[in-house]
Amino acid sequence: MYRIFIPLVAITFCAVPVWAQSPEPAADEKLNQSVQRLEEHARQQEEKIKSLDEALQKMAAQNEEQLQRQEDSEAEALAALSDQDKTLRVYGFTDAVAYRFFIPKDSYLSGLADDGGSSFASWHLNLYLERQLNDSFRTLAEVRFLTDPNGEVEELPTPMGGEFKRVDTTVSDSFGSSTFRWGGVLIERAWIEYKLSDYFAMKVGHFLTPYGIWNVEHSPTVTIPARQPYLVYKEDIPGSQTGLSFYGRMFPSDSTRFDYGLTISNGRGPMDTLQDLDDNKAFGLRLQLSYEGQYNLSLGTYLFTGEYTNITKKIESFEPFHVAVERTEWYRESAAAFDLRFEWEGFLIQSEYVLRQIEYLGGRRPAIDHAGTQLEPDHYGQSQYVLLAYRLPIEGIELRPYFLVQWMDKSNFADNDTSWIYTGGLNWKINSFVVAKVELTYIDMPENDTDNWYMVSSQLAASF
Amino acid sequence: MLSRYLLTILLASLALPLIAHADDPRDVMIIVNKSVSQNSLSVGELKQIFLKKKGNWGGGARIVCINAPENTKLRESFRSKVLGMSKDEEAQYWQNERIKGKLSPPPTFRNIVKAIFKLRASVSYVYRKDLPGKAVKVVAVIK
Repeated sequence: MYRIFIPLVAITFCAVPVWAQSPEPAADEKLNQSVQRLEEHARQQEEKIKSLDEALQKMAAQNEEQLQRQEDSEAEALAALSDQDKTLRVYGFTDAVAYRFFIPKDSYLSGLADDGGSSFASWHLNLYLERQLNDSFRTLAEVRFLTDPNGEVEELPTPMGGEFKRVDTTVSDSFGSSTFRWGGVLIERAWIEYKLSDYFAMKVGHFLTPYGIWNVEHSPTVTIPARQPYLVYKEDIPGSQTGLSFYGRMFPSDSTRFDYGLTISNGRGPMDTLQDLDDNKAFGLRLQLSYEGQYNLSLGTYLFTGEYTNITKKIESFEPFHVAVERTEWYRESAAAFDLRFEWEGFLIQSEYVLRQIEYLGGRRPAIDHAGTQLEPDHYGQSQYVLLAYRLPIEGIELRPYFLVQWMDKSNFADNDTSWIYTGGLNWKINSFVVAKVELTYIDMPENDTDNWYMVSSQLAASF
Repeated sequence: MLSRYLLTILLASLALPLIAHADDPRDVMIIVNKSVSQNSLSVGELKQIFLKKKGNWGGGARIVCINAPENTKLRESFRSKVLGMSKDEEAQYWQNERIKGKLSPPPTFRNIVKAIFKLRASVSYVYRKDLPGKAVKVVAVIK
């Protein structure tokens, strides 16, 4: 026990003087400096933390602001969505055309239709203004700008006399010394639509007659050939009417639609967009059945009847004031149109047929000879076209060769007015906005071989 | 005993792809606002709606159809499976419809679920994986 105790006491007494000694001044200074450095470091760290904290707070505020902005813009977009985009839409289509007629010199058409050269032209510049006013009302106006009537032959002299006259619309520019030729503006349609449901809607105003396929599609960006078929531009059924159009759609099955339409209008007349000169409304009935599935098929008809009246007015006396009104033209027209479209795997068959009957009323028959001795009898005419097209199975290029056959018999009382028109061409849809076409058309008049002729047309059309 | 075990494994392995297919996160789910009374829609009906050939629900409310943004896989998937069209064909279709004086294409929206939740009589589509709980109603599944 003592052996352990004695060394412990000795060690304790030896250590006491070491701890009892005061520190040396140099070491104290060193220690102070260390402490100061540490304090400085701590202060810097504190500042850093503070600035980081501030930055974080700033970032959080920015994020919150951004989130709010995003929420606001989303709310705005949602509001726009619920409004179903009721903004005014402006769009349209235009085209550039090059064409040339080849008419035999001994044909009666030579000189009449063919002025000898190839030409460039623009056939269409149509502008649309459309707006969905609310859930039920929509309005649409389509206006076509034309260079007509400038250059049109107003009068062609005959051996019986007359003078060649061409319409010249040249006028001086009020704001300068130059001149320009004014053109025309055609209101293709301008209507207000009220839609109650799929089953019933109505249009009021000037509307395209809902017959056939071509008349409604009518834009070169939609139709496959470059030129309208005779059936459409001859207007056996008026292309547009002014009045009321009721229509609707039913769904017999998920892939079938049944469309109906009823038109009531001024009918045809010299000023039918403004006034009905006979107070006999024209009526039309449209029925169409469509199927969309493995193939697309639609069958339609439009039946139309109306009266055409033209009048002249003359002040016969001033005291008492009297204006005499005389009917100069008066006939009843009835027409039936049928249309078919079949699409399957790139193939397209499209056809329209129109039969039109004219019945003159009140003895107001036009003369069909220069002497005015022969009057036009009641008659009917008919025309038809069949369009065949095939989209070539080439990836990335929408190339469609087509063949259009037209047949027409203008009237059943004349023997030499039957024509066949054959058109072969190529339609290249460059993209969804631009289409290019080139076609060759041959016109065959079986009753008169000298009048057979052909023409070449190319067209670049664009929608915008 | 062994043969029964093997048969069970075989049957289970055959059923696996079906089970996986049934819940594929890439399934396109057709969703409608809860105000829509219709509980199911066929592909034919969807096509009529999204090509705006049909504009009203059975009850008469005007259909508000919303497309996914252009150039998304979802839009592409819907276009090919329901409309049966390519992007160019769809663009062409709407160009033609406008020229014929008919309607313009449905609007597009990024946050589809939110739009369908908020807008009455609306219809759109999302991937199964993006389907929210019970905020909207599913009326069709396009595999």
